[in-house]
Amino acid sequence: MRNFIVLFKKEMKESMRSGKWIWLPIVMMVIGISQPLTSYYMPQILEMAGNLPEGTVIEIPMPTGAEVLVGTMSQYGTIGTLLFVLALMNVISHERQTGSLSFVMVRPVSALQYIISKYISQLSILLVALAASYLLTWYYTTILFDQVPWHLMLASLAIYSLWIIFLTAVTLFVGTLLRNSGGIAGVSVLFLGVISILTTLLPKYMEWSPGNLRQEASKILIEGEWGQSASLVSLSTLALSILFLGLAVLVFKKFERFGN
Amino acid sequence: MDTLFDVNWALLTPLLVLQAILMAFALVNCAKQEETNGPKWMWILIIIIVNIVGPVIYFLIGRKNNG
Repeated sequence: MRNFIVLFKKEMKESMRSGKWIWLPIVMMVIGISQPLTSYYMPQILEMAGNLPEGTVIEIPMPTGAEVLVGTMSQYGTIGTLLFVLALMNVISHERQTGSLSFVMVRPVSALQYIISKYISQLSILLVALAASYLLTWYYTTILFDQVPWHLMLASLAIYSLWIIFLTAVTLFVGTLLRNSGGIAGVSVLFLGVISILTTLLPKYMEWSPGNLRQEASKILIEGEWGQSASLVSLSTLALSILFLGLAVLVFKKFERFGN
Repeated sequence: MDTLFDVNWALLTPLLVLQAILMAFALVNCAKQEETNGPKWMWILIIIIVNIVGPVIYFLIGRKNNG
């Protein structure tokens, strides 16, 4: 446990120094609040951008607050996922390349402690970034559109956080397999993308898929209830995340034994 | 063009402030680095010119020791 705390502190310090604690939340917040703002100003944007003939009338129905939050979720699903994977790609490979990893492993540190400390520290950054962005976006939708009840907002945030939990586990696992950070990002994004596509193509067989999380979060926002499918997806996502973390520890152990 | 002045600045200011913080933080970070991937002046230009994406790219691949 003491080892874990030391490693965890080291991770936190490193993320501070590299600025991840600052830039990731800020970028997420910008992505988040852009969505309600563009929805709100859509008529003006169209008017300015498109050379519409004089007197054109465009009726755009004002979206509800829940719809705007759903739109934000889909931004998180694409740009956010990409950003998170890119932010995570260096976590293990960098220490491997500079050789500071062997420094760490000389100490009596187990693979499990190492991986879990990486996982928890990175996950906390991503979750803080996501929550800050989502809360700010919710505040904006409350001002500009109508208010989404706060318990629905929190429930959808909780469901969506599971996607981040899954994403971090996958990227960390790929990070133990490959050495090249570009490769790590590529493989992780490809894997997450394939899961999302399969989920939309084969909804019947993919009820358990983490790709459903965004849909479940939207369902909570719009229909206002926690369905049974939401529980199933949450459980399976947690199980899959633990599985990937376990695999990461196994692969890492092997690497530790044989050196590079 | 008067629509441009119709916008409620109270709504947009937080967005602009966030972008400014991000840019300033990236610039300070870049200036403090001993060495970056590629020439430093190039990164400073990228951070200033390319909104939002510029600083992000700098943090992701511009730093030599990326933690």
